[in-house]
Formats: sequence, C-alpha cells, structure tokens
Amino acid sequence: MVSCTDYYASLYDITGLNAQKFYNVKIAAVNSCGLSEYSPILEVATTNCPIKPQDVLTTIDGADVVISWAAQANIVSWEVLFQGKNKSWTRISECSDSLDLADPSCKLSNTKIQEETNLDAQELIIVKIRGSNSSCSGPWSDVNTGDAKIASCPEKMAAPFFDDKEAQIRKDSITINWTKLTGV
Amino acid sequence: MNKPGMISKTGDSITITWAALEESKTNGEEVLSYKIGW
Repeated sequence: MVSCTDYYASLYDITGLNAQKFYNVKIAAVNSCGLSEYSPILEVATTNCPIKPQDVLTTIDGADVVISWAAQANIVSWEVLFQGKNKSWTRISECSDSLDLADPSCKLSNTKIQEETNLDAQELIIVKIRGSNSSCSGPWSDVNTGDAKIASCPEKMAAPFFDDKEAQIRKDSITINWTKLTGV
Repeated sequence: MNKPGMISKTGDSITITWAALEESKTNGEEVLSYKIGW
C-alpha cells in the first residue's frame, strides 16, 4: 500500500515486485473528509525476466579487453555499460551491436575504453551487464568483476643520440640511437 | 473510483493509470492524494 500524494498524477509505477506473480491492484482517493471506497480490483501478473548475469569477466588480450559472461535462454539483447571516471555509465558501440546471444562476449581496444570512459592509466575497468527477453529487462550484474585495467602509455623518452657521430652522419642520411624503454 | 488500468509490466514492476475522480463524487472537497494497494 502506498500513497500517491501528487493529486494531478494519473500514473504510478509499483516497483519491487516478484517475477511471475499475480497482484491485485486497487486505488482510492483521499480528500479532507478521508478515504473513498476502493475501486474494483485490477488483476495483473508480472512477467518472467532474465536473471542477473553471472560470470562477468574482463580480461586483457594484448591491446584489447575482452568482456565475457554466461549465456541465458531466450535473451533478445544484452546491454553492456562501462563506468566512467565521473562514475556515470556509458555505452560503447563495440559492446552493444552484433553480440553473439548464445555465447556473449565483446572485444574492444583498451584505447577505445580509455577514450570513452576518461579513466586514467591503471584504473580498473568496471562494467555492468543486463539481458532482456521479449517481456522485460533483467537486473544488472554485479560490478567490478575481472581485473582488466586501462593500459599505461609509455613515458617520455630521452633524446636520441649518436654512438659514433662521424660515422652516423652522412651526406644524405643519418643513423640514430636511443635508449630502450623497459616494459614495452 | 473506477478500476485502474495497466500501462505496462515487467518482471518486477507494474505501471498503472486511473481516471481522476469526477468532481460530483468528491463531495465538493478537492482530492489530496491517492492510495494504491496491492
């Protein structure tokens, strides 16, 4: 039982219900005199929704990040959202279109995720996923699964140099040396 | 009031709608709120 205190309203979302259950809904008006008689009952059954996605995993595959999760029956679409630096959620097209419904996963470059989320190097990539069937959308998966992080860019390199300046500088070409970065 | 109608439903929610109570049925007193039960 709830009170809808906006007397101009003619619409209300009853939330927090259980899937595949019957509910009897009724309504009454309240004025300064009190409560009216309740309306006749509206019988409604909630639908059967997908369950919370399981086994959500983010893994690094070279320069790419792979996001995978367990398949479910009767799914017509998956929704994958990435958490940005400002904590808002964003959709990335590579993980929205043409997903394999029977073996769901998506692969996109670490750089693309960094561009879309504005995360800093070495920040954890956080995703949440939900499935929809022909009736409704299921709940979002748990977040922060997997340990894929935004890749670090190489640091600024030292100036190139010559080992043997006279030999390396020629009439129409030069040969340069540089100090190799570690971890690249 | 008349029976509410259903706009949409999901696995965990139902959206209902209703017609405002006619003025002749409010005894001249403005409706302040609605109580919805299920």
